[in-house]
Amino acid sequence: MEKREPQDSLCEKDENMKKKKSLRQSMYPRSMVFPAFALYTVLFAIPTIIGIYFGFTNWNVYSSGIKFIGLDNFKFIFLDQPFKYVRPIMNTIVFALATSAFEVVLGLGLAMILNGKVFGRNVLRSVYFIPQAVSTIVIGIMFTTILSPTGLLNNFLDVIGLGMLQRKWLITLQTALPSVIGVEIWRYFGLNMVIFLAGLQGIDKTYYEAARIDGANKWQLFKNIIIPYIMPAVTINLVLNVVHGFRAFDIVYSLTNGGPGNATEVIATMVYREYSAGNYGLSSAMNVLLLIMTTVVSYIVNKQSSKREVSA
Amino acid sequence: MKVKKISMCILQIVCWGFSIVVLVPFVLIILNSLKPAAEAAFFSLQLPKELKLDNYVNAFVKGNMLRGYVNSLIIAIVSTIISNVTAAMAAFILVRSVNRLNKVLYSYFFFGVVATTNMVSTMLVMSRLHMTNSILGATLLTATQGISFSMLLFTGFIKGIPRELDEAAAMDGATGWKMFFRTIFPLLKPVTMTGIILNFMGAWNGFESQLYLLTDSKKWGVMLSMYGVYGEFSSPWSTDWGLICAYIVLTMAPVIMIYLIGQRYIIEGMTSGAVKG
Amino acid sequence: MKNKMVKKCLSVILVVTMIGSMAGCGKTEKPVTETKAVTEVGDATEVSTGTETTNEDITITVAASASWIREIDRELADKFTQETGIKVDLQANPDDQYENVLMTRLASGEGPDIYMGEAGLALQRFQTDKYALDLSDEEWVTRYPEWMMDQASYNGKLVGFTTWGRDFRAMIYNSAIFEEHNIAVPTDYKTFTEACDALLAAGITPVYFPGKEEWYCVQAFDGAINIETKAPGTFEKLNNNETTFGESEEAVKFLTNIKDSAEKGYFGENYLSNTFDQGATLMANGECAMWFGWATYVNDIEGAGGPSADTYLAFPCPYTDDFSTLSMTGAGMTRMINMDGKNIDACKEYFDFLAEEGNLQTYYDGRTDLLESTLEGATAKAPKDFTAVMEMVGDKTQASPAQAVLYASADGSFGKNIQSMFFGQMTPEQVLDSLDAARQKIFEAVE
Repeated sequence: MEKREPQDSLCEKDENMKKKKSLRQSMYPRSMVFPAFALYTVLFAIPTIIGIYFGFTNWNVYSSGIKFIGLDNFKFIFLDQPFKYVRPIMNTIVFALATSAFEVVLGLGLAMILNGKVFGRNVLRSVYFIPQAVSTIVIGIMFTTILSPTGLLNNFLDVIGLGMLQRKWLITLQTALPSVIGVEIWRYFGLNMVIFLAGLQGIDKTYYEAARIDGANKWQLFKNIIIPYIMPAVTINLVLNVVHGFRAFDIVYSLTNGGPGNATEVIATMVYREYSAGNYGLSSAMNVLLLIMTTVVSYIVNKQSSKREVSA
Repeated sequence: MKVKKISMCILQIVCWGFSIVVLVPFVLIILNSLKPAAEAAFFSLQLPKELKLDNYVNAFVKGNMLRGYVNSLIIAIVSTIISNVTAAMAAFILVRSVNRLNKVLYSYFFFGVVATTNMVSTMLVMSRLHMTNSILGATLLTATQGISFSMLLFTGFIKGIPRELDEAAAMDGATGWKMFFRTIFPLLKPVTMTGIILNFMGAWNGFESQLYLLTDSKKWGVMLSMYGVYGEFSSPWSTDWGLICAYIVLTMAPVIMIYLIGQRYIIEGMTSGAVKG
Repeated sequence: MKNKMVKKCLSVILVVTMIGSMAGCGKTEKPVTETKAVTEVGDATEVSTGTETTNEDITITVAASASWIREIDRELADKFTQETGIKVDLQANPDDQYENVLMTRLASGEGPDIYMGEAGLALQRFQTDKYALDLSDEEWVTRYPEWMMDQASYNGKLVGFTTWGRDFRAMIYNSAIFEEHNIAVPTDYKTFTEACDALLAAGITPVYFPGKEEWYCVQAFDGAINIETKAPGTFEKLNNNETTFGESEEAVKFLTNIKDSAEKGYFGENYLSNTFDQGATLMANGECAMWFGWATYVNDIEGAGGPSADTYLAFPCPYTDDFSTLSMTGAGMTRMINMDGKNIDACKEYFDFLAEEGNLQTYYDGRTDLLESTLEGATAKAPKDFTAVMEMVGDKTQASPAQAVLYASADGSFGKNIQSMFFGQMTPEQVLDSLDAARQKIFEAVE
């Protein structure tokens, strides 16, 4: 038997790899990434970095000089004026978690219903998604009137005999934040549902059959088949929901403008408020806070959910 | 059996009930747009006692609708094309050619889905680039905002296209840009449609960047023009809600139409991109 | 490799630019402005090399908040165009965005030729040093009364052409209702509460307070001149950062009193959900007897079907417990010329036109909401409540905190904090503390 020189075969392998590499590079030239990269970097990444820098300065409308002040803005937010800034931070977290949870639950629930034999499924699917097609200015106007003391919701409650549930939804301390949360859920549950529906439809029917043969009941079906397979969709929805929730501005601004009092202030409205007061540095600092929060939470949610994911 | 039928019934009712909840606000606005000011102030679901179609005419004329439409269309269409094309190209490379740098770039782009925009610094950059108060600037900014999401869509979809197709095309002598545009891009049609529709909707409805960037109100899109008009149509003690609702309907109409026509694409594309990505 | 990438990048940008410029251009009225770096200051005369020879080509842009532009302004602008050929583009911005948009525009070199802003100390927010043209040599300056000079200047430089006069912050009351129920006009906080109690007993809501409106809650604090009148020199100390609002007993007293009035039901049950719009109607039909704010609101009430404007008189803000002085706002909105603008001469011509006695009188005739003429040569129609209350205090006035105290508007949440105070979520001390902290931050930044 001929023994090949080890070096020879290595050389050949190298050659092949080099050929493959250059073929790869010409097949998938990195230059194609450039246009997106350029646009994204110049108009997004750079402003974001600059924005982060401003968060550590005292830039404001009254002075023309900008001074680096380290963590002073953050000290101000957390230590100096906690009741003014910490409340919005808490509100933001509550808002994001509540909307996220309800959107997922509602979306999944409806998706499961629609996955069965429901009449007019496609129509329903389209309808649930419509709120996504509307601008937030319009949503603000729509719901400000619906939730007003003489608005549709109160009238409706009266008509169906639940008159004692009537409230001044957007201007009462206890109901203001829940009302805003409700509107946000109205806006986003359709998106969740649609993603869940696709996920559900991707589950092989044979799994159900196999499980039923084994005598599994509905709850076990749900727990052992659906949940593991729907996890990727849950992850995505949770991340998107939480991100939207943290960033919520238009909805809060147009419905309550942070009121009554400071009850529905969220980080994004504070960012705007400080900006309007001319405290640009402080405004940017709150933005940085928001950035950190969204990144951290997305990361965590992603990690958690991918642990439980099952690749189909 | 009967129990099953009843539960099916209940579920049907629940579903359709929800759809009503979703649709009521829209019905409200449409009904209101047909009412004269005094009636419209009530925002009730009653049918209009008198039809005031003038509201639409007035909204169009007083609200500078035509100009707003043109601006919105330009910004929306051009930015959509830009973000889709650039994102598709980039996604293609990043999916196919997996190496260290590309993985980094991948995360780099995805950061945009999560991160917030800082209007202050964005405006600063825009002004240094001499792009403030220009439709070009607004277009590019809107395009940028669509890139991350578009990439999300495209990466999911491209993963589903077999590599053999690339290699087949390469063997025919086409590489890189050529191969992509001739062979792969046509295959991306479903998700491209999704991307176009969603980006268009976002660009049409979005107003924050226009608000800061476009200081000349003649350059405003249709959403922002409403903002300006909202103030004009109301006096200290009365607001003509009928007129405002008519304006709202006119601004919503194009987007809703596009949505209805293309919703198949949206839903399919989003789910395939999202679930697989 | 790098060259290739750069080339491709440039080609894409080129294509995009071509598409964009075809799409975005039409008539660009503004000449291409060079972006000045934030630290540079252009010299007025050098910049206007772009001025065309014929007036027909000139359009001066005037930026303002939407509610500041009135019918009479448009009429006069048209008349100006007829006389001189220079066009005037009155640009209305959404009220709550105006300042942001204006400052962004000025900073990027895209500022309007003329811009309106609040006079007095508030001029500071517009970085007047940097952007506003010095107008001290203009003819109409000599016709400014003494109190106007301060209002129109900043840091020793006179920059504003103002036609909006001052306004007061006082409690307007329906004298007919008071007479009908034999209620004496209050002379201090205690008698004010007695008057309110009497009104409540008669089934009338004493004061209409649009508590839902954030701006109104901020404005309510304009009445707190007792901070100065009862402790003279406090405003100056505040401006030198030698004391804080929290340390002013008068400030705390003011907020405590207004909260007290609210709790006693003087504002009605639902005052926190009251909006501004409904006020005129409720005053008109007699459901409410008093309203705190500016003088010409009485015209709005009359317009909403109420009794004639003269029925309404006024007394100074009751929560101060000091009826000796009347709180005045600054001289409303002033017009400034952008130093970096291209049409300085045309702008000056515009101001001269507006200052002409004939035009000035037309202006005041059209602006029934203004109390006094700011320039000699015309008279405004002051409503009776203004004359009545001025008589009451013997013409003794004091600029409100918003006008007289530096960085009084530094706290973006001030209005909301006051609302929170009404809700019982914050104490008066906390409200003032928040304001102090915000001001302190600015003081530190400006050092």
